[in-house]
Amino acid sequence: MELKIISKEDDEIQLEIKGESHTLLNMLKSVLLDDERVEIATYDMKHVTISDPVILVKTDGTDPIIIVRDAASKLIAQCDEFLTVFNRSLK
Amino acid sequence: MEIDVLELSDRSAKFILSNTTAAFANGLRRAMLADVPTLAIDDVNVYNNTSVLYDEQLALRLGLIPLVTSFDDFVPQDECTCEDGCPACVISLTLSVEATADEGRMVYSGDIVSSDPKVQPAEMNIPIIELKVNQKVVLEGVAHMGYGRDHAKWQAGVACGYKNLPIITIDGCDRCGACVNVCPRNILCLGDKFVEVSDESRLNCSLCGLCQDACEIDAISVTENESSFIFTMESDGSYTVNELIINAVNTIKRKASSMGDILSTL
Repeated sequence: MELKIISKEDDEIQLEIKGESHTLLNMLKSVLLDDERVEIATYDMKHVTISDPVILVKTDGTDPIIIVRDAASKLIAQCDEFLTVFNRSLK
Repeated sequence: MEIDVLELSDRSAKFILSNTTAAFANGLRRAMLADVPTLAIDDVNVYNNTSVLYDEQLALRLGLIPLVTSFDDFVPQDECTCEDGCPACVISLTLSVEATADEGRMVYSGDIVSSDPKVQPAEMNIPIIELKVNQKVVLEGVAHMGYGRDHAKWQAGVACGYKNLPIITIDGCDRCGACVNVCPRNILCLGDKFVEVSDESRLNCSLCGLCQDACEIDAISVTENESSFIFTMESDGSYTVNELIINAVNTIKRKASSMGDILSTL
């Protein structure tokens, strides 16, 4: 995975996430929107097959990089939770 | 998050995933379809083909045969450290069949001979080509790991989908039976005093809302539980359903953690 910062201000960031699609971005967006520090979180893919998605996050003033990083770890936690619950439900 | 497994076999599963978001459910579905790599024949060296099919057509049919894949033993070729094929990213399969002078025969996926005993066609009875008398097919197929997003032959999950858990509430029913007659899936039945729906048949509800329209006194309502999903999924045989789900979640996890790692270095 490659990340490219398109623009960054104190409370706003636009990140291009190379090689990813709706799978990750939609999950990330949903986790970001659950964060109270986030005012706007959305992503866009200019072209369905040839573009890389660009995510825009606007915060209440917190460093947006920290916020996106937190979102990534929340996503990992969700996956871990799924795996634990799934393994338990098989027993 | 809770999971209630309703059905589970090697090839198909049905489970209820509750207390989660639609985004997670959709991410899981998409990952199972497109982001879990599987093996499929990608390059074909044709040594002899006197059958009625063109080489290209034969190659396409071979590619679409699901191969049992062990996730840990292989990597997609462009993620491999080697330059042009090593045992970790390439596996060779051969197909050599000749019809006799007396009668033709059908070539099945079971005729494919793999160089690795663990990698075998998931089904042995997939017809590839019918040979007439004296016709012959001799070829080598080279299988690579690939992603479902690039070609359907690398798609491990088939028929993966989910719907919200239906909530059917019946309140103030006068037992007229109009909804029972109109329900296309016959999930409602007339009880002693009201119309009733059992927990089991409730899962069958397609949320069509015909019962709501039929009820003249608005006693029945069908809504969806926004945080619970009934998942149905099937595997093409490359993985067992169990492995497929775990691999899909691990794929998402890997994506998220590599993103987190890059962000920490900024």
